[in-house]
Amino acid sequence: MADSFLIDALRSGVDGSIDANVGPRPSDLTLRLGRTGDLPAAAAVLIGSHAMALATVVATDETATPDGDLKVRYVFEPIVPGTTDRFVTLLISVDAACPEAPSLTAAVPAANWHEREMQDLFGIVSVGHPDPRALVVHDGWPRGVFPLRKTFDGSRHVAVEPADEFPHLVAEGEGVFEIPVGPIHAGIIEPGHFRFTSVGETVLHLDARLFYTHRGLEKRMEGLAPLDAFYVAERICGVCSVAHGMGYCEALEQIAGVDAPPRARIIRSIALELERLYNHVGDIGNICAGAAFHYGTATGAYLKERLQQMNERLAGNRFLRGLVIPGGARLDLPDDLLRVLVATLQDTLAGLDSLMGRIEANPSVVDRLDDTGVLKHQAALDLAVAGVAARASGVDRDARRDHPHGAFALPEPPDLHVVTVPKGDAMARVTVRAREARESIRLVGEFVRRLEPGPLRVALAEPLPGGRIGISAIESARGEAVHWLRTDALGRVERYHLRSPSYHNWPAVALAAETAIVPDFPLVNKSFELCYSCTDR
Amino acid sequence: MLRILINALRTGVVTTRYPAEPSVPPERFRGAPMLRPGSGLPPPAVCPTGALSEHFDAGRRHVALDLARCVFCGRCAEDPWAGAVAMGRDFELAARCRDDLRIEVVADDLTVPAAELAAGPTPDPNAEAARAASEIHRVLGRSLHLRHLDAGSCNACDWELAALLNPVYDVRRLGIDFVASPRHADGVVVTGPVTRNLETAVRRTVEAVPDPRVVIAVGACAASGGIVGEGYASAGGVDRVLPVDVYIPGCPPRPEAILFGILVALGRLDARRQPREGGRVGAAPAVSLC
Amino acid sequence: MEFSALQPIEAAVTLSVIWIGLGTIGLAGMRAPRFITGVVFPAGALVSLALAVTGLWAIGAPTSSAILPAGLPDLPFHVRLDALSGFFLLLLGGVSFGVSLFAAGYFRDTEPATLGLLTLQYHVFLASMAFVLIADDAYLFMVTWESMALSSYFLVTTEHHSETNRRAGFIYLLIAHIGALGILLCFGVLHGGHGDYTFAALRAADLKGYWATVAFLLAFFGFGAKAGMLPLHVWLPEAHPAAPSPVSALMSGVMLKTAIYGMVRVIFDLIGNIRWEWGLTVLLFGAATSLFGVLFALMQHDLKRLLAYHSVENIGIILIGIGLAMVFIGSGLPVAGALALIAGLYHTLNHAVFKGLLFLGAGAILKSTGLRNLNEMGGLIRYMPHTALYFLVGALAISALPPLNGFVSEWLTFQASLQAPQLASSVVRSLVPIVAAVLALSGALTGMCFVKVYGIAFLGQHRHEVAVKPREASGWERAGMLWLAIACLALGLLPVFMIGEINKVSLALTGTGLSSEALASGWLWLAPTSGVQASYSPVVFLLVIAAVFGLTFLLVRHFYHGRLRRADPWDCGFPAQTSRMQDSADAFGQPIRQIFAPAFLIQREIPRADDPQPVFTQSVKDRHWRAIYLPIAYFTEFLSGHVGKLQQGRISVYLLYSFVTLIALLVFAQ
Repeated sequence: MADSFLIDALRSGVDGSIDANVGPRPSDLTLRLGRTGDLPAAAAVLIGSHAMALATVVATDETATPDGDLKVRYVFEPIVPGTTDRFVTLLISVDAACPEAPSLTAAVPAANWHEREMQDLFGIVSVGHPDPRALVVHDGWPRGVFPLRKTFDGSRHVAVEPADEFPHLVAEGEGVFEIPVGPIHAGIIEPGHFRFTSVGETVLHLDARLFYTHRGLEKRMEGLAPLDAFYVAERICGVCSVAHGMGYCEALEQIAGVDAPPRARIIRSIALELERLYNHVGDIGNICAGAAFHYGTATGAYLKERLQQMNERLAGNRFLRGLVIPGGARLDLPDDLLRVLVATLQDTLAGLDSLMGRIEANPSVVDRLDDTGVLKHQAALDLAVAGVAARASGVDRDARRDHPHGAFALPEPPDLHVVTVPKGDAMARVTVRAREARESIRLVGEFVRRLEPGPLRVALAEPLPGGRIGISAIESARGEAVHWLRTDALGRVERYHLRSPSYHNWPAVALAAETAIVPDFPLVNKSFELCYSCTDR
Repeated sequence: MLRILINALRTGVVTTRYPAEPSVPPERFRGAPMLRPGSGLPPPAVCPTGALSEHFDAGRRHVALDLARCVFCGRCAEDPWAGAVAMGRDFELAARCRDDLRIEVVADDLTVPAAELAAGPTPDPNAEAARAASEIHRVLGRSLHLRHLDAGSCNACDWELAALLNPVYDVRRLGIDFVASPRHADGVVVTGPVTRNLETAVRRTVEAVPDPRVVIAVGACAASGGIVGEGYASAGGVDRVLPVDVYIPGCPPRPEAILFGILVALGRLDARRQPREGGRVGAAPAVSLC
Repeated sequence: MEFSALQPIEAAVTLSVIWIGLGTIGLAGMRAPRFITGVVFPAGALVSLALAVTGLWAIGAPTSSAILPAGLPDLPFHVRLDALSGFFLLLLGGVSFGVSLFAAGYFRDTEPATLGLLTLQYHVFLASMAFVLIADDAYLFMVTWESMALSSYFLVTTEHHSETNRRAGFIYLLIAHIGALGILLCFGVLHGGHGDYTFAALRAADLKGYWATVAFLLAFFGFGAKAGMLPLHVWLPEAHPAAPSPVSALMSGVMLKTAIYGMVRVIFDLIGNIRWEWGLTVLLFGAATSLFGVLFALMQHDLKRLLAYHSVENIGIILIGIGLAMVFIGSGLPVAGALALIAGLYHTLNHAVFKGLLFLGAGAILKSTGLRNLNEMGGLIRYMPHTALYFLVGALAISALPPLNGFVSEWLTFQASLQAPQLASSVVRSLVPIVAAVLALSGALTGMCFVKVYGIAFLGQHRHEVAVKPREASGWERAGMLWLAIACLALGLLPVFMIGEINKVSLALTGTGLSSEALASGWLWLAPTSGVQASYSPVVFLLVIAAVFGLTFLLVRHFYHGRLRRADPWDCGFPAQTSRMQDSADAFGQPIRQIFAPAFLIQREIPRADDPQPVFTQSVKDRHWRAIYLPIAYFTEFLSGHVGKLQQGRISVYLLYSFVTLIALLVFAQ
């Protein structure tokens, strides 16, 4: 069996013991490493010979349990298309009094931010990390205070104190100067700080600093009843409301041991595709804004507006909040609404085709987009980049196919055509979005056809089983979002962790921007169109 | 170029006429919840943000709904409380004063007429006029330049603000625009609960706006902390850090609701009026718009 | 000596000799540095002023000449002061007045030993230049030309402990001598074997066939080497920065102009019979020089090197004017030729004034902060407001902005090029507008370069770490700069007067001046051809600008009632700003570097994306070294290596050489 092959390979690659168990889902594996120092070797086996990539890293505070330690779970997933849906977790135990773990960043560049976050929120030091600067808590945060430890009371405001300047990584040389941008940017956009080092217009280096919108939502959800926590999860990010709501629901339903009914699954997937659609159409319009093509901006915005008004008709909220609920779907989609939906989508398809035609026929826009902000294929693989950015650099990953969810988890799921383009520039990302939007429209039509009458919701037994873990991966508009959830003994949320697709993609933006000139940076940034609030939580 | 012109002409004018003409939201739209007095009112624990509260006064249970905290999830209107709470369709909820956003109902007194009780406290017109600083209306009434300030929002409110600039709402036709620098701005539109990492930037941005200026809090998080609340990384609302001129509830508020709120801030429209029976909505402008 | 009997030439000679005397006094009094800087240099300045007045007087006065009691037995030194020499004496005196005043303050803290020698070399330099301008025979000319080169060589290598300075001095001397060789050969061609070497004789020489062209080419390249013309300019960017700043100002401001004087004197006066093909050569070299100079100036971050490249550019502009004059005169259009010549000469004067001012400003900065690298400067306007103001005047003047002097001469050059349609040859008729376009490009790029210089050096925040706050320049230094700034303003606001004087020079040299309509427009309006075609009034312009500024100021005060709130500049909400967050000199020039990349020899090292300590290096070099100089140097080395084989070091071989030579002489001397 593939599992035992994997376990044997790991056992031979490490010195200490490995305690292998099935979990969290029946197809997953959790491997507890006896020696913390074996972590890099084990990760090397998974990445090197088993074609896996880092999915997420979850640290937990288990000092109150009999183990009395901190635990870190490094979750890997296969990247070869067509492999079975599974997650392989490497679990290590970290001493709470002297919390150290070996750093994976040298071999697994995607682990960079995870380890820095772990250090800020739990105090777990990643030994050998090449860049151990603070990530989540900005200047003036008291030292030695770790917000996600159980002993820290997260409900009180901690005052902001004056502090030294954050040490940005800048390039040196004669005539080199720095351009600081942000955190408050010129347009209507979320906050982040970008420190360019440049000579004239050439970008020598870009150091991006995020987590300005860190609201401490993971801490907020701890101790909440599962249904209350759902409303928080749905509002982590505005444009990923359905995706994150759905991810939380699927993880919760795993813990509860229930399956959402088929009609609810299809409604959920319709909502997810509608979210992908309005995001892609709006993003194409925004990219035109970055290229100063105002016809494109206005048309994209108009198409997006019509889709959002359609959302409001379906769900009562322009961001489709209130459609998904733990256990199923909160609202039904009656036939008259579905007819209007299909008609709107046909209009949108025509509008999108027309817009893409105008973009591709406009030499100045194409000139701005071609070869701008190139993300190389190997860099996309190394950083475990997800979503549109990955597929536009030739990386074939889509969570709808690799970790089926919603309607794709039904017995005979519809066909899914995953779009990849090898080039990796801004034009490739526009092309991928346009094709995916068309695919979403086709999928919604397919889902509508497959809707059968049935129950919308299944009840979740209260209280939920304690100490169980649920994990789900949802393909949001920006890529795969991985949710990890665990309940406590009373059936409330004990720990929730979201790894949004933007989390892995932000370092890729810095790489892509370094191939472009400074005035092209807004265009490069918009071509990725990542969520700051998903990343920051 | 020619094709672009032809496409544009073919699309025609798509701009809404709001606020000159009222905007009717779709049937499923969840606007301000309407509380009917009676024993069926939900307990406060039902609300995920703590917008519902109760207190006892002379033996009678008063239930209050804070619209600034409400995220319009609709849970309080689901079974078994569907009889007592209905999600209305009123979205023009902006108010100058946080207290104007509290709706209080007496839970178990059936003798008091519903219409009277369903209403919130009547805004005092004199206080209203005093607060609608005539200077603001005179200086900024015809043309308002706003600086958007994201203080840690989930980006839904930000996208709705961006939507105000699209061809459908076209906020520039009302003399309102968004600017890049606070130095060019007459006011600041804040979204998000003011996270710890942004507090310094938020203060500096508003300080950089010349007088006279307005501060508009958009969304539940900005108005009250919303789903985030107060925490180690969140101040719990813009008014914990800055003086706020107008609160616009919503999660997120519709673009028309934001527009309504901005016009209230300018004194071009009156603030939140008493909700009408049956949830009929409509906005009669206080002064003519030009 | 009664005034009425005093000839301008006698005054000129006397003043020059006084300079030499002052230099000697300076050397003798080297133990009293205060005396030197407090008395000798100001005295030298007074002499400059007197010389300038003499020059101005000589422009209008009839030509005077004299024979000095020195020189060879059958060729004593002849000196002559005509309108052209008078004009250049005015230039020399006017600019060196300001520079000597500045030097009085600048050299105050120099070591006494160095100071003594410096004073001697400085005044000998000035005297040599004066004698070059009044020399009337080839022998005196070459002697004083050589002493000018030598004294300036010593001045350039004042700080001889620096390897760079020694190398700069060496290259300077080398090219100066190559140029001198050319000039000497030119005189030889003009002499042609008959008569003596006085300029009168050379003038009268009738050159056959292509010998005139040979003489022209020798003179053009010989003087061009000294003027810093392409491709013999490589010494300029090395030598000018190496010298002390007042010396750089003199070299850039005055010495290059003596080369122009030489060119004009030899080509227009001694050779005469100008052919338009010669003019075309001058024109094209001038255009190439000006564009090249400004492109390289934009790439520099060393302030003095940048100014040196600008000198190259302005020499190119002067050559464009002179070339145009030669083309027009050679094509039988003397009035247009006069206009072009006047434009060229006026630019000569203007450049001397504003370049001198700019170098003095750079010197003040260097003395105050010890900085020459623009990337380390910044915010100096707060510490040195007077210097900043004078430098601003110089920067505006060199960028050819009205109402200052640079605009007038460049405008006149354009007006001259607009006379091109009158030419017969279509080749030339189509080349002149191209040259004018290149001139316009250089002008625009100069403006861009000085925005960079002024903005980065004086404005913004200081990039340098200063232990001691920079102090404003001393009184003498400010006086020197003020004089030159006033000169810029005066030459810009009252051009008609100066044009009138230069017109006399043109009349004396070529026999034609400006048209009568041009001269009829009065003192307020400058009309190069006629008042109807084109005219310019700097005074009106200045008054209008002042009125607009004043009106705006008053209106704003009235409407806003002076309400003011001072706050930090908007910084995107990011509190910590460092001085690194400003544009740097190299960054400002990056777009030009990218567009004109083939013109430069660029070597860059860009850090890799994953480098934890990224470092960027870039160097921009002159292609001429690789293309011309290094091959010549290697070839010379190769040749001399082989010739060196003759030196065997054994006496038997030398005896053999003597024996072979003797036999050869016996055979061939029959």
